[in-house]
Amino acid sequence: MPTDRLDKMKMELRRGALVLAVLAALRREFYAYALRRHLAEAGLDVDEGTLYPLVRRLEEYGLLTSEWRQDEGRKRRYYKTSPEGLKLLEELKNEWGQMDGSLTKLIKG
Amino acid sequence: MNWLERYVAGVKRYLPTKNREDIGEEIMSVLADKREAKEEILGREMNEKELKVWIGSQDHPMVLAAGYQERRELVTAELFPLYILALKIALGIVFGLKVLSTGFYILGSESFSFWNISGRLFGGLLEGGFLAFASITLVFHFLGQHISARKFYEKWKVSDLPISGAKWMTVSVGETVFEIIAYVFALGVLQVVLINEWGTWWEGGISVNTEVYNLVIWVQAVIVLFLAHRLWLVIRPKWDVAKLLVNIGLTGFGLYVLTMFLNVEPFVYFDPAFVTDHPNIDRDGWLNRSITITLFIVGAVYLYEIGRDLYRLYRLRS
Repeated sequence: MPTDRLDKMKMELRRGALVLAVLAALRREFYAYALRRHLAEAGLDVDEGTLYPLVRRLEEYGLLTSEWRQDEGRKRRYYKTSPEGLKLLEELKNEWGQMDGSLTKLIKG
Repeated sequence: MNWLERYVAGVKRYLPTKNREDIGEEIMSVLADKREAKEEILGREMNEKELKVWIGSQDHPMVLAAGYQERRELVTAELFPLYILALKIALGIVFGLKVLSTGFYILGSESFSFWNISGRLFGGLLEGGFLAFASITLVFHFLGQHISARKFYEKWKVSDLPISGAKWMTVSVGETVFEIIAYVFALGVLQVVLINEWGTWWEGGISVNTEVYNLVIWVQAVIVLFLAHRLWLVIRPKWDVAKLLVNIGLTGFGLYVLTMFLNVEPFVYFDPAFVTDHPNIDRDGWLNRSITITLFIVGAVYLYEIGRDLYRLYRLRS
């Protein structure tokens, strides 16, 4: 399969799961760059052009809260999953569990 | 010169207006974190040259900004700024061509009415505008489906980034296309009014000084050179040292031609028999006086432009 197409499909596959990953990671407070590093350490290397706009979008939907803070002599914006985001996270976790089970069955044949 | 600030200024040009400042501030904060991480690896601060190379390794400002655009169905976010640029150029050209064709229609027709001209102009504008809008949207929709815009933006020059706080560096393509249309129109008017219909006004009652006729060729030369310069600006819509120098040279040349005009006395002659028949036609020499005042105003504008461009040159060089 051409690399371009493979990359596109991988990206699509990840895109849906990324919201779940971000909501889960942001149960702890992070600023944008630290969040990306945290996800990478967990094995989820996300392109910054995808991650940062997504974080802002989730905040616009009210799923995250954010606050500008002075930190190490510099202004940084800290994000955290909001109570509404936590509720959604629980629902998405269930959905993920179901999908994971179904896909595993299908892949095993 | 702060490359980080220039990069963020470059990204901000393509961000949605609503949250432009806030997103810009966050991008700046993320860049500062990334720079810090890079310097931690190096074990020292990056120097100016390294910083420039590092900035050049980031995504093209347009690509980074595209992620913050709302999702669109017809044209992808990455292509959207180019789509808007293409639309502005196309609609500017449609507008210009319609105004030109209507202008020449007026000059060439013996009788016309306001409603006839308005209908012709606005009907043409609507038709051409819709056609340009539909065809450009379809082309960009097709491009978005088949081509990844990222490939176009992989290589970009850091030196092309705007200077933070110097909005003038980015040329408005719409305004430049409008200027081009005005220059073409001026050339057309010079050709038709001054050359083709030379000395035929009011059956010879009013005639232009032949010295003016000799100078028209210089005006045409100035306009053609300005036209070429503006086309250059449309292709590379950013003021840099070369473009500023050429603009200063051209404006200076324009100013010189203007002074040659100011030496002509008078610009327009009135036939004595014509003045007898129309006693109010040149009361207090208003026509020649108006032309002189207009030339002085144009001269003042030219002087202002030269001063402005010299200041911009100074800012670019410092």
